[in-house]
Amino acid sequence: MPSIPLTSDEKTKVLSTLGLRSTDDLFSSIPPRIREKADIGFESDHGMSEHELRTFFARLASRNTLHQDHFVGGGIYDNTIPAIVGQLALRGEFLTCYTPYQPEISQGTLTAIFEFQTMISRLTAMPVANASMYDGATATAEAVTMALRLTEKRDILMSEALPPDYTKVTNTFLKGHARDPLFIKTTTEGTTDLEHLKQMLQTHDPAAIVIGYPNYFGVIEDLAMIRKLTNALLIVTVPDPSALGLFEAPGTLGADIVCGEAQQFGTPMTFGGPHVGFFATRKENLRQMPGRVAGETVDSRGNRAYTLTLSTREQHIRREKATSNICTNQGLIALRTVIYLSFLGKQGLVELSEINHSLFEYLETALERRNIAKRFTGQHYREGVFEVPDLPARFKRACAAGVIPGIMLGPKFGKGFANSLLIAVNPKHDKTAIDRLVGALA
Amino acid sequence: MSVPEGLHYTKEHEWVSFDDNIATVGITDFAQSSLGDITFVQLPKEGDQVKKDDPFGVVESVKAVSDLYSPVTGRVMEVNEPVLKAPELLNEDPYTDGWLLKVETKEIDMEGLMSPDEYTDYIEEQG
Amino acid sequence: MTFDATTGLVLREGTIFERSRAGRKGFQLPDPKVPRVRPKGFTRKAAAELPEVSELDVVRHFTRLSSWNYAIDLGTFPLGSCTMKYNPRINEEIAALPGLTDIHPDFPPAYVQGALEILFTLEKILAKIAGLDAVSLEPAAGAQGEFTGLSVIRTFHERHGSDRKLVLIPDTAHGTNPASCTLAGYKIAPLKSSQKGALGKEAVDEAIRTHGRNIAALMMTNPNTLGLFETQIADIAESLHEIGAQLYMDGANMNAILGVARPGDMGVDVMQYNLHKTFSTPHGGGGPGAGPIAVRSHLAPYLPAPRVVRNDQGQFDLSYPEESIGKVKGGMGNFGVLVRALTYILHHGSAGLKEISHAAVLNANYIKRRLCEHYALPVEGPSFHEVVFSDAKQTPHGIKTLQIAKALIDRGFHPPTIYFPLVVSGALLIEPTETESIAELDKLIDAFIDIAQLVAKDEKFENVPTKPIVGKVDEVRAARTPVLTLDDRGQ
Repeated sequence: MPSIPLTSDEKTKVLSTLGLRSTDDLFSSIPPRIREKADIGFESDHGMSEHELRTFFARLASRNTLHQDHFVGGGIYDNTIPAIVGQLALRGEFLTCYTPYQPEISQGTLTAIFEFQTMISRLTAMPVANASMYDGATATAEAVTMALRLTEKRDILMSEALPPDYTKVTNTFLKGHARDPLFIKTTTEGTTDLEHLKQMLQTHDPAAIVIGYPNYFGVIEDLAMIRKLTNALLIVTVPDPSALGLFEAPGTLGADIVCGEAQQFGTPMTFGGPHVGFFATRKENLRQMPGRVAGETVDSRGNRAYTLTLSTREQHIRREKATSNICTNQGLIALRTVIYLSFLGKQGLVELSEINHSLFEYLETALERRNIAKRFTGQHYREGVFEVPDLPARFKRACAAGVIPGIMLGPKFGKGFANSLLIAVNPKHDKTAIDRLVGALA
Repeated sequence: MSVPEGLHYTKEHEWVSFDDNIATVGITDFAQSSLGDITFVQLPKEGDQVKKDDPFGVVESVKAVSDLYSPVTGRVMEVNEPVLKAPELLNEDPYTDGWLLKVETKEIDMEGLMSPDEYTDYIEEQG
Repeated sequence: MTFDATTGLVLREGTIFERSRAGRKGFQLPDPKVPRVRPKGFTRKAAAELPEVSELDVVRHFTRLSSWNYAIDLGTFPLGSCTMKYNPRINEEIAALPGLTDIHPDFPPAYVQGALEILFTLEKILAKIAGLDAVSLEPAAGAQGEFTGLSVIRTFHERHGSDRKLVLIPDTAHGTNPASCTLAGYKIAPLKSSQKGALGKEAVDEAIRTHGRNIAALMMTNPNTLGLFETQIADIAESLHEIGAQLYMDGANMNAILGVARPGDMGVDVMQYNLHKTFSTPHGGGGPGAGPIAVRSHLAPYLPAPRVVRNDQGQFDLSYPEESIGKVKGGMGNFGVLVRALTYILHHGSAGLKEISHAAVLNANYIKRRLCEHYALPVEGPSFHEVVFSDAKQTPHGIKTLQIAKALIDRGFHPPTIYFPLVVSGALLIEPTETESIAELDKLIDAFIDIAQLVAKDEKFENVPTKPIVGKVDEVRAARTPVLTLDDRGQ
């Protein structure tokens, strides 16, 4: 057995110390009627060697077709990942440590969390951030339940233009509060309909309004205007924080809670997880914030030191009155984010944002020349919905030509979107890749 | 454990003193020492109503949270603001500088309140 | 006696921001070969102050930080209830295959057949180990599994026209249990465990007499957090089922009973796995984990969607059952974690999994036997994969659990779980796992004994620990004046 170091001599010796004949005796307190049934035999009764595992999984991995290019985004983005990210994150001291409950022997993780909080705070222009959440969708749902606690109001208004997974997860969370969210329509610009919002505000006094920035359609919302319209808590969820290199930070525009997804900063798409959510808010809301937080303090020798703090909000102390049931953060993925953002740096983030934006502008012009137009007219960033005549057939053809051209929105948004294709660019693309996409779609 | 004369005590380890219809409320020396270093205090605002035996706030140490229960019913006249900024006052001086609220009460209801001697016996039982 | 801890070569390091120099550029982005343009509106006025450092700065910084962490790769990590077993590296290699990392959940199913087959296979195996009928791999962590399981239960009751409001929870439960109940819209009714540390059927029957059909479910952990098997669980399940209530089992301690006992045979209706515990996916300093749930067939229609299905031609696809509770997490669960868990399971095979539990329980009982003279055992009864001691023998000397824990650090070990379960005063919960050898366990045991003997000689252990890069950390100051980002400093 690869992972059990016990020799048979040792086993005999330990058993005799314990006065037992066999390890079966250790389980004698389990009622026989339960034990007798416990046959879990599955196909591989005996374990596979490393070699066999490699062969087994190589076959499965090869059944996933990796196309030459893909233009799939919608909240999860492909990106080029620096070599050092994966290598540093594989260090055993990061990989095989636990939640930093014992600060004296967890300063590495704690320092990295403090850096993560600082980076998220500066990226979003919000004063406090937590140590991370599972992903953008759960971070959004947690923001909504936090708003219900803060305001003790009932209604939640959500933009229709949020990533569908964010809406679905928030819905599941709200069911626990016996609530259903109310949705605000989308304009022809692809933004949240402010007229509809005004109407809703005449009949409702919501706890919060949830806006995507950029939204699922790749459109930048006018947060400053929304802020002016309402006193409800403004939750801004950022599925694509690379936009914050070029576009104004939600904190500067009056957001109360800013959350989102940081996967593209150093973590592969991995079929949807593990990714990493972030969560930032104003200082006065700190005590209602979910999740772990690291703080800076000193040690007994007067040196700078870090520790998890403000734990009285959390489940292990406050149990049913906790701000969330979340136990940990998304430690290793948050670490990858810190390593990536450190290496990318202040100018690098702006450049990344500019590359994405420029690629999209080029794509848009090229597609329009082939009579494939954007569905929405608002300010886009790196991603947008295009109306492609006869989409299902062209989608298939593009895939066959080695390009997955985007996400077909019909199944997600219904009939009106039957020919709508959400196309996202990423830094792995260049002019050639986009020309190939345009050729494949036209 | 200090249990000053002239105050009345509750089973939840709050103390209260009366000056006409104004009640001053705080936590006892026993409460602060069982909690350890107090890191955070949450209190109602001036003008809020508090109700006898109902929670009116929270005190926290690093690894524990405790609800505060009001020994009186009435309207909050004054909140000890310095305690909010410096919760350590509750550890250093729970009976004078560390008071929490002044409450205007309509009637003085002594039910459930203990004398210093009774409270001393009570905390001895609690160990 | 000598122990492994030293104050050897450890390098000091500030935050990454202290290495920053204005104008320095690190990572080189690819050239997109298109004209560079910037948007006209909504533009950011001041760039986010990220560090400006070189590649070597980043490597040195994080390598130095890593050297301040204790980890399984460095030594025994006897953290009770957390199952800190060795993480085989083949898991990492497999999970990093480009065919498994470079796939998007919105790729058409035809192009992710391998990924769907992995999910399908793991679901089947986890159902078998649980002795239950269907599995959802979507929950991102154990606590999310609890929330998902409770949401499934709530939806089941709602669809059967039953509006139940209460979940019963024994006093030995993990803190996540009551927190998950609140999140799922339930109120808690606490249950007292018996003097022997287990949950008695009488306590449950009593609660049923009081609350009747207002009880939606009972959540219990088995083996429980005291390391004891809940021997009456099947009878408890019967009592619950008689009033239509469900039995939820917190599967955090599955490492004790793999191939030995199946929750399905105990009458359990729903359980969650913690793959990062039982199936050795790395804890990573607090995540990512995965918390799949397994359910009996009557609850299967309510599992999160999409579900992975296989058609007659052997092709995999996604389906969206109408009755589903919806989604609890974006994407298809923590796929990368699921791949590691499947690798680990296949590496051991079903026979190997059984051996794992046998060795894990043997190790815990070995520790119990060797330490029981030196530390108080608050509960009687046969221990499973973990054993709980208390500081009762040390408190007369003025030494409490916290000091014992910190003194262990000075001897080169991560402390056990302390002050949990809450029903034991001054608890020390030790879980050795099956991957520690007897020689390594002896070192840990010797360190515990050394501390106990010094306590008996009235050693005061002031200011422990002394050997790590930082001394005792001032947690009171951290909480009173929170400094949560660099920009909070000096405010």
